[in-house]
Amino acid sequence: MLKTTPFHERTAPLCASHAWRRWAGHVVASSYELTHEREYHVIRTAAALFDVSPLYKYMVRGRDAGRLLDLVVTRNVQKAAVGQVLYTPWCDHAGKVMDDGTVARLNDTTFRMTSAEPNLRWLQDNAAGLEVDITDVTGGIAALSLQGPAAGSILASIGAPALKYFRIAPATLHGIAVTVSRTGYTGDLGYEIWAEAGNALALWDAVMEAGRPYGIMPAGLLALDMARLEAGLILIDVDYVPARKALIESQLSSPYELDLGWTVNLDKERFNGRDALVAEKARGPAWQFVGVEVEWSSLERLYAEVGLATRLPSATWRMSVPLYADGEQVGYATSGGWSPLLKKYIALAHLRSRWAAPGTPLEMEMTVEHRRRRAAARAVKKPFFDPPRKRA
Amino acid sequence: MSDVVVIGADANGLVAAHLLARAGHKVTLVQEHGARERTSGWVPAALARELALDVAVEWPDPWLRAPLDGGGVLELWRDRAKSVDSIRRLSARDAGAWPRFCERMSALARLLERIYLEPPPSLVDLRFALRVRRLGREAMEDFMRLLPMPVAELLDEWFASDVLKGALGALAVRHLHQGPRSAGTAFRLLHYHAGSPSGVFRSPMSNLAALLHTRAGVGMREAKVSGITVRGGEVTGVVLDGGQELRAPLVLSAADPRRTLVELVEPGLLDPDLLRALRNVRARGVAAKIVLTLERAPEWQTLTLAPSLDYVERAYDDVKYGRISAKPWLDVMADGASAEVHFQYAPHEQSTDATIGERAAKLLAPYLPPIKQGKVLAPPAPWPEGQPHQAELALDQAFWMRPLPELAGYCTPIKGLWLCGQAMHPAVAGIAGYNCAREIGRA
Repeated sequence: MLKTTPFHERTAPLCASHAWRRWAGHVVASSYELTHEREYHVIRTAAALFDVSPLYKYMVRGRDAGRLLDLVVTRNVQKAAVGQVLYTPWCDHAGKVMDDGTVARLNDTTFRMTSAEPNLRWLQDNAAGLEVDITDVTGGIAALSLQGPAAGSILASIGAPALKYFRIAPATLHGIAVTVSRTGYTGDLGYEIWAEAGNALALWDAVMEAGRPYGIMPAGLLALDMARLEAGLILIDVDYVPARKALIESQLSSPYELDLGWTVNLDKERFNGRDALVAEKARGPAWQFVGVEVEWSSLERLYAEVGLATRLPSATWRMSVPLYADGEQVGYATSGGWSPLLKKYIALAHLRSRWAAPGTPLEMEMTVEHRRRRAAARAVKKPFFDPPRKRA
Repeated sequence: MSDVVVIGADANGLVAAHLLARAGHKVTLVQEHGARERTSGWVPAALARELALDVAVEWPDPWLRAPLDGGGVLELWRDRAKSVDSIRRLSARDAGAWPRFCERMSALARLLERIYLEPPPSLVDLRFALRVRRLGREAMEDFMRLLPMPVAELLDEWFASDVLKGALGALAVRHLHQGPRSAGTAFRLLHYHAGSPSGVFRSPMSNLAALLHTRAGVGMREAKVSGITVRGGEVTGVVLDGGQELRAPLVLSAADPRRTLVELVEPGLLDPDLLRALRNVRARGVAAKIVLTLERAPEWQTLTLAPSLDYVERAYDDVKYGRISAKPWLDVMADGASAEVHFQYAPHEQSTDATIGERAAKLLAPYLPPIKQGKVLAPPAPWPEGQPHQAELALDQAFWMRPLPELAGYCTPIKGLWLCGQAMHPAVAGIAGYNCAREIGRA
């Protein structure tokens, strides 16, 4: 049975489109309005409110909590300051990515981990011999994400403290005890608010009320998907196959192959996959995860040849699209679409290392009027959109 | 400084330690528990020869005595003709079948013996396939057919007598959390037959560990190990309770693999998936041990009370649901006026329950001299959860799957750390240590 989130009483009447999507066993809105366009634009121009409660959440407490998380994830958790949040992937023993998420250090011995997949068993498996308590708090904690240039002002107006990028702090918003982190999945200025499920509705009302003068809108996953594509952020099951679900060797990815090499801290004496990652770093990854930009003129020509005006995807697509260079297939895009803000056709792609350097000329397969064609494209640096306000 | 540390001074630890010492290593053996005087299990001639040991191996003779309902006893002897005579009193047909049964089983046991004296065969191992083929058509079919069979069905195929089948079926499931109608138990009959003369389906007792215990050549330490140290993926030694470190580039553990790899090795070094698999290895003790002091010595050495396969299966039914068998099957070994009773089944957590002694005494009263005193003993400390095989010897935890496919070759993912205990193939005291030491020699 699909579950609803603690905000469902508020989100359900707002969901005029009745377009619900499943996310980790919950129903959440794909879009609230009939199309997701305004919801997308509000992320970049005002503030969009997302219900992100279905994220898996774990409290990890105890003397060895930091030690456990350091064994599991690739980044250095014990070096994180209290109030710091780390984005990090984690790997199996062979150095292949199983999941990615965040680890927030709430105090010396308490951490909250978020993930896309269930990880309780994996955490417990790794905790053998350690003094640590792991609790699945997925259902107990409601989570909102407020993203966009006005997000900071809206939260400040109801009592949120100023926070630096990827920091977290306890706060009382309109009388409700929460923790607020300056994190998100849009590549914009943004915050995530974590509260007891019982306070969810009051929290929703307080944020919506405070956001009204700023043009706040609730937004669904379709808008979020466009924003995360512009931000160049990977999505599990779409841009990579988690190690546990991979059926064949070639479906596995290492952090280096997902452009997450910056999260791999080989100074740590041990963590899952370290030996394999040391070796991979030495020989260089076979694949890179890069941005791809399709050339407008080429796209326009393909459509003109069949007598049509250029057609653009209205939402982010999620499928494997072949990429060619020098006459052979050298990779595949896994997410792509039109960025209304950048006015560019962009995609996230896996490319063999040889063809992954920014500027490399590529061709991307396009189906134009039932025929497979190739449009000129090139490899580019991610993120596609990176406003200074994200970190400021 | 030693170059080898062996953890555990049971037969496996001792055999491995002395073999390595003879190969020129300087070996320290850490004895974690008091020495056990007698070793149960086959002692292969090759092992005794390589260690230049004059081992005394003995079976009781008759090796099986089972009382009959209306008085009298079924006796199975090393001398096949005497066994046939005894069986004839129950069933002429069974008596006629006994010699052929013994020959067929014996052919298979000889194959097991060869398999046991080597690291477990791989499924794709050509030599293994050839060996099975060389048995000839009948024995090859027997082998393939018999391994996964319930021992009850095997015995039902051959015999009619309840007493004969009950006693043989009971001995086959000794220390196993299964009953005679569980799949894979026919293999157990062969396991206890391996190394014994044709017609003897019981492991012998020997002085293997006792002999090695007093032998020079290996440094002995009495201490408990609190950790195994590892640097850069290679073992560097062991830490004793109290903090002393014994450094060595080669460490063998006869302790159970779960303790060795989950408790003694620091967290974070091994694949969590492997550790999970290890935690799922079944090691459930199912037997209690009672030591009786009798008013006088009985006139026999052994007595087995397992009057039918139904009886044994019902005893198992109880433990399936967490209870001590209301009517356990019992196996008594007498030594003068003292007797040791093997009581099966009792869940490990209840294996020293007060009612165990009473239940056994009541069942045994008609057959024993009066009991002066009885004491229920806790299982020896090295047996995890009271399981002497460390990992239950079931078909899915045998051969190349013992204790797990990933660990079946005695070596571990940590370089220099080896496993040589009962949880390793072939689960015969001493032979796992023998195979492990020889693998180290080859590595």
